[in-house]
Amino acid sequence: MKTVRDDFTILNRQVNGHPLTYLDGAATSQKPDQVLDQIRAYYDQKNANVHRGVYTLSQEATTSYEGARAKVAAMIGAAAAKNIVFTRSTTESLNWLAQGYGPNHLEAGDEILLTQLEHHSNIVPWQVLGKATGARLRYVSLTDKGEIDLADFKNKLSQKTKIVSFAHVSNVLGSLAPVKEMTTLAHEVGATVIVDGAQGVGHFPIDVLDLNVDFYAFSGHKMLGPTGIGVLYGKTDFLEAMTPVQYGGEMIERVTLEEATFQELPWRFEAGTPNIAGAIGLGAAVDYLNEVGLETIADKEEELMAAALSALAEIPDLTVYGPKDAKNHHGVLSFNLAGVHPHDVATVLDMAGVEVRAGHHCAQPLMDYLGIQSAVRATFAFYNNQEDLDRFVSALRQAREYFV
Amino acid sequence: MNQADLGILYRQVILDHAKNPHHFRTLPASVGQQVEKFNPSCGDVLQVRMVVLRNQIQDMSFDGAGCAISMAAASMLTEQLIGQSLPAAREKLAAFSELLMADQVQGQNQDGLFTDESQSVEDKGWQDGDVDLGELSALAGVRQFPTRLKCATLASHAVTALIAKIEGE
Repeated sequence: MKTVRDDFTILNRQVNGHPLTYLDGAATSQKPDQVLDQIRAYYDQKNANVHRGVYTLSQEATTSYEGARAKVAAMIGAAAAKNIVFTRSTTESLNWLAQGYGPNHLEAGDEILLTQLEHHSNIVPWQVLGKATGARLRYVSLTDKGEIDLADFKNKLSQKTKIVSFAHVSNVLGSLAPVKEMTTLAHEVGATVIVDGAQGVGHFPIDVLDLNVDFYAFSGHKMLGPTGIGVLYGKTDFLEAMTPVQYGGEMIERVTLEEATFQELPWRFEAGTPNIAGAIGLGAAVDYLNEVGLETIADKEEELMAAALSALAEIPDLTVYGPKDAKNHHGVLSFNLAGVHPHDVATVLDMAGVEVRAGHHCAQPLMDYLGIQSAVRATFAFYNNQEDLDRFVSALRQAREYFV
Repeated sequence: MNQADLGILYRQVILDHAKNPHHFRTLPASVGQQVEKFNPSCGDVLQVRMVVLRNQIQDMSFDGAGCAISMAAASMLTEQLIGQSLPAAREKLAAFSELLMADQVQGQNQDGLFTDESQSVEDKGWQDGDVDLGELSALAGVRQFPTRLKCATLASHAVTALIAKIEGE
């Protein structure tokens, strides 16, 4: 019987003499043939610059590029394709907000509210902006379960809060933020809501209009697409209130020696030749995700997570961080084996073909909060299976025997 | 998993040092000089302190948290360096750096990519002219695990910076 695994050529390879067990989808997902084929087809059949030529190839390339934008918009429930700006990555989307939206909307004494579990890319751009504007950063604390403490969030929200930015799903704990509730509360004090959706999109259905967030950022490569393409979704008013961070070709309307006027949304933000193949690959990833079904993907990830949590509970001296409930892990599982450094665990697993992440996961403030320096992280994607889980658990037991 | 493969990296002497690191303690802040280094990939922090008298390393200590490789490297390095003159210590550091990098360069193909067949010479120890690295040569196996090079060199980078700091004064 054909399974989704057959669509991922890389899953056939061996690593250190063992079948590849890829458990690092939170860092980057693997890519199905359908995505790779579309990238190849673009270069083979339609390669030309977009929005330029009047000739056929350019028109075909433009249609594919803009088609990808429409697919992305539809997948996250955006009002229109113009609400989707292509960027390089989640990191770039967040940096553009900090550089293009932040300075126009902050004064000294204002506050930017983040949470304790953010990825460095949702902390550092705001730190730099805070230093430049005199705005103050505040952080919402977490509950014992590793979830955002809503009471603390309410306490820290005030008329001074101008920007609230947080991860939809924690890249370490897998926990889900109560986006809708937080957004409503933030809007009550007039704050702009930004959500880092890097670990959300591609794992379950998302509707940005229902969530009512003002901006939503995510990466293509974590949702089966290629690297180098990301998305910044924004409500029309909010994108209109943002200044472009880059200037040049494609984004202008009319240029004289003295000045220039700019294109309408979303092209105003896409200076220079964009990542056309990347956008087309992302569009193919959206098609693929829709075909498999986001509900199906969420169920499969939860099923594997439930099995992983019970298997890990049997291993002595192993601490799992974050929620105890598989439903609130969204495929992401971080843990430590007492007395064994995460890098040593990861090397032993690698020798068994099991690829996991070890380190601080670009979330050092969260590591501080958890009282650890680093952790091992395994991600379970819908293209993983029970054999992957078995190989992972068996290698983990060997790591423990080897070092403890 | 092949335990023999793991043994290339985790030699017994490395596991021993990692479990019972030598000079793993905190010397008082009034004694000698200290440098702190971070391993940005895992967040580990290593502090190394050194007491130098008349160009001679009298004592060393290190503190922090790390994996088996970085702890063992720090432990074996302090063993090798205490009692050495600063120039001799610098020679050992250079030889250690060469030990970890030598086969890397040889193992590169013409595209500059690492090939899978980096040689395993850890058993013959390491002699670079008159420089004897002692137990440190057990870390040669790290060459076959390029992702772990930063773990193996965290302590030596800290000590190199520390010596430069001391000599600069």
